Amino acid sequence: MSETPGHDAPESALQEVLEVIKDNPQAREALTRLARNVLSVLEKPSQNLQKVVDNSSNLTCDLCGSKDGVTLYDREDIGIDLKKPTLASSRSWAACASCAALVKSASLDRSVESSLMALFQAHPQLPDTETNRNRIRQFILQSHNEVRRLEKQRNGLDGNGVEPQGLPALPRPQEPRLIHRPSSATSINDCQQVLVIGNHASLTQMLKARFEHNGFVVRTACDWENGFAVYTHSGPFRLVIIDLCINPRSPQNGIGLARTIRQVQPMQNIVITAFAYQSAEEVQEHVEQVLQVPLTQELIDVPVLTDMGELNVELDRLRNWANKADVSQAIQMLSHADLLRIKRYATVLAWGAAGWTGEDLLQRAVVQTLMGAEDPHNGKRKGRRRWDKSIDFARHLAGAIESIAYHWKEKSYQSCTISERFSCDDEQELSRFENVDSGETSVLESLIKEEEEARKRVKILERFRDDPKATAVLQGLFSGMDKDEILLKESLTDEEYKAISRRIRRTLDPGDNGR
Amino acid sequence: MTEGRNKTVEAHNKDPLKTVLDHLADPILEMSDEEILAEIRETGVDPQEVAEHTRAVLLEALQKFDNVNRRLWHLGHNIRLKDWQLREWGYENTCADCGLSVSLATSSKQPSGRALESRCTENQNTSLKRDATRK
Repeated sequence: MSETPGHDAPESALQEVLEVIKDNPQAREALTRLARNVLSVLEKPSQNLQKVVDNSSNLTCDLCGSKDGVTLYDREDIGIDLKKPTLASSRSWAACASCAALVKSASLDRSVESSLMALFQAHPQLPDTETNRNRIRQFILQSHNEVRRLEKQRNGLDGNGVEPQGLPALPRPQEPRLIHRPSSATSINDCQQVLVIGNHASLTQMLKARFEHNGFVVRTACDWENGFAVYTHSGPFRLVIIDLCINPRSPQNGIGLARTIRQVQPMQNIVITAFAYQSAEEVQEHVEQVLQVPLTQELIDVPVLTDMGELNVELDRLRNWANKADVSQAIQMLSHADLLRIKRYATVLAWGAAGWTGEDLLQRAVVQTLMGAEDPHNGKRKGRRRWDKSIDFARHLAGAIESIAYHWKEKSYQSCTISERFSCDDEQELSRFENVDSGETSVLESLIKEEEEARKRVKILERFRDDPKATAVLQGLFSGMDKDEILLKESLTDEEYKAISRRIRRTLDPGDNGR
Repeated sequence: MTEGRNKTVEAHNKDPLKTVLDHLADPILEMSDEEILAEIRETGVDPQEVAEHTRAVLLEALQKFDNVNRRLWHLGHNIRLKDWQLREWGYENTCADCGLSVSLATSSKQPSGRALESRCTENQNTSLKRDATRK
């Protein structure tokens, strides 16, 4: 399309229009948007329209209200790629350079409040009011959600179970401090990452879930190229699991990929899965027939698993199980901060486990670990918990404590009969249900449960009658809100939320004062 | 039903105390060293003392486990590690030869059971030999 003389917008006419609407910001913005849209469809850009866009100073930053250096961004790009200005639309947002950088940093670092502070410092003209804070928080939280959605996609949680290609690399969310110490991994055996490469999404997902359950961080890839790219970028891994069936009739099949990875890292632990076959011999025969090549010497130690059960043996082989002496040494080596975190964690979890104290939970966690250490072959039986030495001991203990506490709470709740749930004072209430048919027991149970829970909620809230902020936080938690939602609804800062949580912990503490 | 409504119903169906505990306990593991020290100080106790007490509690469990096994060994009992059964109050086992029981409580209670009080009737000689090595 070319500009015809009759339709070429003369600069004077545009200036005239701009003059007419100069005091009408909405009209100026509409014209600018129109000019941008027209520019986007013109094969040959119109210099006059470009001038309208360039001269338009009516774009204001959606966050700080600044008019300097404001660019429009696509809302979906928020926090991911702020280098791409976009056309104005309902899906766009305007931000000045410093706000854009801060939103991006907040999206990646998860530091909403610090970004908020930096934003107010960078824009002294912007009043630091609650309204402004809430408005900006909302933007940052929106970008967080977008980043989380993309991370889920990257981790294959979007339904296809494999890593989508072409997405920008995002840093992993920060793990809890106790759980994620700075890695001291110096060899493959210290590494906690597993790579699963396969083109059957359900199988990849199943393997991923199994290894994650065993404490590994799992990366997935759907094909040869992707798998090798992930390996070269993030390897070595504790274990690489390759499905034989990726490109089955090509040299770039599972065996080929295993061979290539071994050329890069000869020490890499690899397992090939071939669940469609009956035995490893059958796989070997088939591979030799199809590829017309024998399995090479370099892959002689690579197990070919044709049965899911064999995976457990492989998992065990990978583990670095601790013995009793290791457990004893690890207890001696725990730092004061780790000990305090574990103790406090156990104390809080014990509040919900009737008749238990934090110390009971700690001792049971140690005994479970010792049972697992002394009897490693039955380490997965009830009451045993093996400690893999490559996992932080404090993390291991926290996991054991959590599982014991919740198992106990669940059990004590289930074993509680209807009459036991009501005290003698509640006889009247119990009589309301006397003539109910046995077939309606489940309805009755759920009614009782609801009433009991409502009563518990009221009891808890009563203890915070003089603390409206703590009450608001508790009500938010009861209604299923998460921390970010509560922060936004109650206009709380992260620090305020932490202080309130501390107050709640202190008030609900039955009295062992952190001991 | 909307997703939000589902979430609310789900939250209401959970034990409210558990909901609160989930939210109160998890951040403890994310606390920095300074934060956890400050929280313990707020409760009016010396963090160093609490930390060392906690270590002692952990070591006590280890010691209890060791003592039980050592005593059972000296008394000639044949306790199979895989036969320790989890109970509400701790663990329970029986001597594979004489059938006497032993319990290892994982709380302030001391280990108990007839196996800790008498020699294995089926392995008298073994227990005497083991006893002699102790002396």
